[in-house]
Amino acid sequence: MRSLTRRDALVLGFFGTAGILHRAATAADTVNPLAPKMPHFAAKAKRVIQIFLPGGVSHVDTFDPKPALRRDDGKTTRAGRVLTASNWGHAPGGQSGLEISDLFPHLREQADELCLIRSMHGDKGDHFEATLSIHSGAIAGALPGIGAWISYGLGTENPNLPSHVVFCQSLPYAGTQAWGSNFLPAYHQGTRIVPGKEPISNLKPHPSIAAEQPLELSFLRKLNERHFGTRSADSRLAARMYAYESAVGLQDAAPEVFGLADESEATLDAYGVKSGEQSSFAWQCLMARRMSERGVRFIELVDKGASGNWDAHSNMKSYTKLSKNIDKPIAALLTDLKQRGLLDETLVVCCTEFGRTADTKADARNGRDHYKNAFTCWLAGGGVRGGTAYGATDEHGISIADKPAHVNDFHATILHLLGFDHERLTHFYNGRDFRLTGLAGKVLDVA
Amino acid sequence: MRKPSQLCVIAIVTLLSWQTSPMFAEEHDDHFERHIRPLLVNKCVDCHSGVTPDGNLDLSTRSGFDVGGMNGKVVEGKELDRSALYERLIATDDDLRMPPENPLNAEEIAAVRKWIETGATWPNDEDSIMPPEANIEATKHWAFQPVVKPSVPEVMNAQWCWTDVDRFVLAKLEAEGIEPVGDVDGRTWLRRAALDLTGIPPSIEEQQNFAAGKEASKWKSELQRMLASRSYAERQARRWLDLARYADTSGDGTDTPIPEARFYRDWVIDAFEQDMPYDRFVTEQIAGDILAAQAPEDRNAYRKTIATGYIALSRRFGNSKFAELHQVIDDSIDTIGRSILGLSLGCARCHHHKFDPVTTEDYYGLYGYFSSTQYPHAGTEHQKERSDLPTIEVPAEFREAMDSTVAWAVGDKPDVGDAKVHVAGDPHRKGPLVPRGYLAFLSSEHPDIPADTSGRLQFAQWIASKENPLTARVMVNRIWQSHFGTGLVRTTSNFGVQAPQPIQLDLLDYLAAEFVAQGWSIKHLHELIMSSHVYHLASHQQPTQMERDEANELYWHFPRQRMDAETFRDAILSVSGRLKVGSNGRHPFKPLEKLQYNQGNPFSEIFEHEHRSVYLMTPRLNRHPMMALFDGADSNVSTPERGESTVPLQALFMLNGNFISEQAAALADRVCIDSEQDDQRLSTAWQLVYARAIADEELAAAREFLSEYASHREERGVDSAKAAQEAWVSLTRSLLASNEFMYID
Repeated sequence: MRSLTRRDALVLGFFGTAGILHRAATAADTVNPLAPKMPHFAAKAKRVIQIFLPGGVSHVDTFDPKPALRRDDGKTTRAGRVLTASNWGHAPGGQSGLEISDLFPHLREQADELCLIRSMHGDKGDHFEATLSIHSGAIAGALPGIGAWISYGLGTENPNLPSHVVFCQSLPYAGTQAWGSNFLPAYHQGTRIVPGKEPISNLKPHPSIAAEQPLELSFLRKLNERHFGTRSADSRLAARMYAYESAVGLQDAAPEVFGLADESEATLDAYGVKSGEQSSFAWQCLMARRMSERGVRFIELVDKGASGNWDAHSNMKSYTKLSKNIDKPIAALLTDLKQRGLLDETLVVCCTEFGRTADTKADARNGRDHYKNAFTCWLAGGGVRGGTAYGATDEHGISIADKPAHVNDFHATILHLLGFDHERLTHFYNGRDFRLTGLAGKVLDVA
Repeated sequence: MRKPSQLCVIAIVTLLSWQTSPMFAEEHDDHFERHIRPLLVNKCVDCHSGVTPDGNLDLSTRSGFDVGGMNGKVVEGKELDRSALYERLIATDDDLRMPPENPLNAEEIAAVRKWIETGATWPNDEDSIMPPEANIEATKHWAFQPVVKPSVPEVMNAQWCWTDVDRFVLAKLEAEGIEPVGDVDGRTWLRRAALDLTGIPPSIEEQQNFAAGKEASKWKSELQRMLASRSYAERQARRWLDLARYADTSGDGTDTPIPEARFYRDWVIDAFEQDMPYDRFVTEQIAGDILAAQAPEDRNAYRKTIATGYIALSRRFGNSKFAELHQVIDDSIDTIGRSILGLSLGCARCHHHKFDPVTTEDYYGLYGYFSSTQYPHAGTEHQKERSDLPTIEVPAEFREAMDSTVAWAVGDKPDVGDAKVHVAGDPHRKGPLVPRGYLAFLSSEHPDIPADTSGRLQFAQWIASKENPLTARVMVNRIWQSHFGTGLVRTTSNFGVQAPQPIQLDLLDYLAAEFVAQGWSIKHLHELIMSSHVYHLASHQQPTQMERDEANELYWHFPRQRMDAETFRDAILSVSGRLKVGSNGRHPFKPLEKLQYNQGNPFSEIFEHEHRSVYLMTPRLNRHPMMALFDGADSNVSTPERGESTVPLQALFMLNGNFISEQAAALADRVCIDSEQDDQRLSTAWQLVYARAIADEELAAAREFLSEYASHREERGVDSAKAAQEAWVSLTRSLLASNEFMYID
C-alpha cells in the first residue's frame, strides 16, 4: 500500500474506503457532511460575515441619531428619569444621506452600502439571554446559533477550512453557546479563533512527526471506522472523525490564510493592520475577507468579551474608544469586498443584543440602561438595498414608530437573502421540527 | 429549552385559578381581583415592569400605573376616550395594539372598560399587584409538593426487572410499546462503571480480577470496591465543585489567588470518601462555622469551618475590597438556589420572579443571613492586604496535610440583623426591612434565630430537612445524571415552574424517598442505581426505538457518553502510567506577601502537574487550556452540566499537542518495556486503552502500521531503534485520539 499524502487523506474522506484515492463528485456529497448544498431558491448572498458587538450598543448614539433628544434634554420621562442627549453629533453620509453619528466617520462614508434596521426589538433585556437570542432566536436557554443553521443549510465551499468560524478574543455573555450547534450535528458549531500570537493552538506538528502524519491519520481513521461500524446512529462520533479531517485541512490551509505576505501595503493601511500583528480588530476584518475569498460560509467577529464592551451603564464616553477600534476596519472591509467583487455575494451583518435607554436616571446621566424595545442592527452587501433605513423609532428613540423588526424577523431576512424560506429550514429533533425563527419571523423588505 | 407554548399554558392556568380563587374575592375589590389583576399579570407586566419597563410604563405597581408612561397618565379620570391604555387595547393597527400578540377578547376589553368607568380603582393596601399570592398556582407545581414514596408499578415483563428502579423504567417503556435494548457485556460494563464512578479506566489487573470473578457476586463486589476508593471521592467531588463554582482565585478584576481554597476542595473529597450524609454535607457548607463554634472541643471543628468555603468562594467583583458586596451575596444566594434547591433565586433580587413564586421579600429574607455574614478578602487592586480569614485550630496530627492557621471561610458578623429590600435591585434605594426567613411558598414556618447569630444555621437546617421537597429531589436527580448523562429532570439546576413534570416523576420520588430513608447516603444511591438492569443495558441505538424516543427520555438504551475534560485528562495519565496519586499539595503561587495583582496585570498563571485534574489550580479569569478546550466547568457560575463541543482545535490538540505527545510516549514505553514481542505489546496497549482484547484484524493492521511507519522513518535516515520507537508513539497517540477511548459505551 502506498503511503497517503496529507492531501490524499483529506480527499479520501472519512467514510471512504482505504485504497480509493480519488472519489467521484457524487460520492463527495454523501461522505462529507459539510459538502455544499443548494438553498430553497436563488440566493442573493452566498456567505455571511457577522460582526457582533456585545454589551448592547446604544442606538441613539450610533446609527439612529435623535436631534429631539438634544432639544428635550433633561425633560422628565417618568419618576427619576430624564431624556439625555447623545454626547456626539451626527451627519448625513454618502449619496443617500443616511444619518450616522460622529462615532463612525469612516463607516458613514460607506452609508450607501448600509441598510440600517432601526426598528429592531427583542424579548430579552439581560445580556446572557439576549446574546443567545440575537444568535439563535431562543427565548430561554440555548438553541443552535444562526451560524450553525447556515452551515447546516448550505454546507461549505472549502473542505480545508471550517464552515463556521468565530474570531473571539474573550468570550461574550453565554460563552460559546452563542455559536454552538446544540441539537444540530456538532460539526456545524463555530470554530473559535483567538486573535493573537497563535490564533489556532497546536497548528503545526513537531518536525519529527510531520512527514509521517498522513500515515498516522490513516491508522486513526481505521480505528475510528471500525468503532463507528456498529455505532453509526451517533452523529457525535462522525463529527469527531470529521474534526480530524478538518484539522488536517486547517493545518494545511491556515498558514496561508493567516499569512499576509500577499497583501499590499495599501490594503493593510486601509484596514489599519500593523505589520506583524495578528490580534487587532482590523486584522480580524482583513481575515474575514480572506476567509470569504476562501469559501468559509459563516464568519463571526466578536469585538469584545463580557466586560469592557458596549454596556455603558455609567460611562458613555467609553464609546469613543470602542467605536474607534472598529469604525475604520469595518469600513475598509466593505470597500475591500466591493473592490474584489465579493460584496454582492457576501452579506455583512452588524448586530448587538439590545439597545440602550434614551432616558437615563436623573442623577446618573453618564450611562444608559439596557433597552430591548428599540435598537439598530445593519446589513450590507449580499443583495441588500444600500443607503436605506428600514423602520424607524420615534423622535426620542424610545418606541418603534415604523415597521417593527423583531429578532426573529431579522433572522428570517438573513436566511431569505441566503435563499432559504425560514419556515422550511428545519431540523427534526425530539418529536418536532425546530427552526431558527421559532414560531415567528417575517422577511423584511431590505433587498 | 422552554417553548412559548409552555409559558402560555402556565399563564392560562394561573389566570383560571384567579377567576375561581375565593381568597381574593373576599379580601379585595371583586372586579379588580376577578378581571383586572389577572389581565395585568398575564398580559401586561411581562414587558411593563421591572427596571426598564416598555414605554417606561410600569403596570406592576399602582405608583407606576399612576405616573403612566412616556406620554403621561394612561387613564385620566373615568373617561374612556381620554385613556391611552384603553385606546391601545382597542387599536386596529397591529403596531399600536396592546398586547402585541394575542389581543384581548371582547369580554376582557369590556372588563377593562368597566374598570375605567368606575374609577380604575386599585386595591387600597398594596402597591405591587404581584404579592406572594400572585403566584399561588405556581405553588401547586410538582416539585414543590412533599416527597411521598410512590408504590412500585406493576410490569408485564417482571423477569426483566432486577430492582425497583427497573420496574419504574420498564412500566413507562411498556406503556409506550418501546422495548429496551439488550445487555452490555461484562468488560464494557466494567469500563463504564469505573469511568463513571472513579473517573479512571480499569487497570489490567482489575479487568482480570473482574473477568475471573464469580458471575453471581462480582458485579456487587466490584461496585463496592470502587465506592470505597479515593478515586471515587475525587471523581464525585469534581462534580460537586462544578456546582459550587469552585475556584482558586477571587474572580474580581485582579483574580487574586486564594491559596487556602484547596482546603475546601479537599473537604469535599473527604466528605464523599466518608459518605457524609448529604443533609450534613449541605448544612456544614452553609453554616459549618456556627456548628464549629458550638462545639469548639471537637477536634474536627476546624473542618466544619473550612466547609463554608462554599459560601466564602462567592465571586468577588471590581477592584476594591468588597466592591458590589450585594453581588457577592447574590452569588451566595444564587449558588445555593441552583446547586442545592434547583431554583434560580437571583432573579428575585430586582423583581418578583417572573415564573417561580419567589418574591423579592423572599429574596431579601435570605439576604439577611448573608449580610450578617463576614466574607474573607483575598486582596485586590485598591486593598492589597488580605483580611477577615477566620483562624482555625488544626490538631497536630493533621498539620502535615493542612499547614494553615486560617481558612477561606465565613463567620458571623458582630452586628447581625435583617436586611432591607433593595428597590429594583438597586442597593442604594432601600425599601422595607424584611425578617430573615425561608421561602414562603415552600414553608409557612419562620426561623427561630438566636439573637447574636446570622441565622445561617437555621436556614441550612431548613434546607437540609426531610420536609424540604427540593433538596433530596435535586440531589438524586444529579446522581442519576452522573450515571446516565441526563437527569430525570433535564434541567438539573432548575426545578422551578418552567421545569415540566418529568416523565419519571415516580422514579424521582422513589429515589428521593429512598435517599432520605437511607440516611442521605450518596454511596447507597449510586449502588442502587448501578445495580439496576437499566444501567446494564447496551448503548446501541436501535432504529425502531430511535423513531419513538430519539432523546432516550425513557432510557431504553444506555446513552453513550463522552468523557468530560477532567476524566479525559485523568484517563490519559492513567493509561500512560504517569498519573500521580493524591494531591499536589500547595499550588506554586508566589509567597503571600507578593501575591498582589491589579486589573491591568491580573493573576494569569497556569500550573501543570500529573496529579488528577480535580487538583488542578482553577483560576476564574484564565482557564486551564485543556479544560477550556474540552468544555470544562466555568468557575464563575454554578455549572449543572458540561457542554460537549467537537471542534478541529481539539483534533489539533490530539495530533500536535505536547501533552498528548508526552503521554503517548510514556504509554509506548510502558507497553514496550512489558514485553519484547510486538503482539504482546499490542495486546497490552488495547487492554490499557480500551479495556478489551485486541481483535485479530486489529492486530494485523497495527503490525502493518508499525512496520510501515518505521521503514518510512528509516528511509529518512532515522536509526532503526529510534524509528521503531517513533512508530510506537504514533500508534499509541492514535489510540488516545480514537473515539473508542473518549466515548464510554
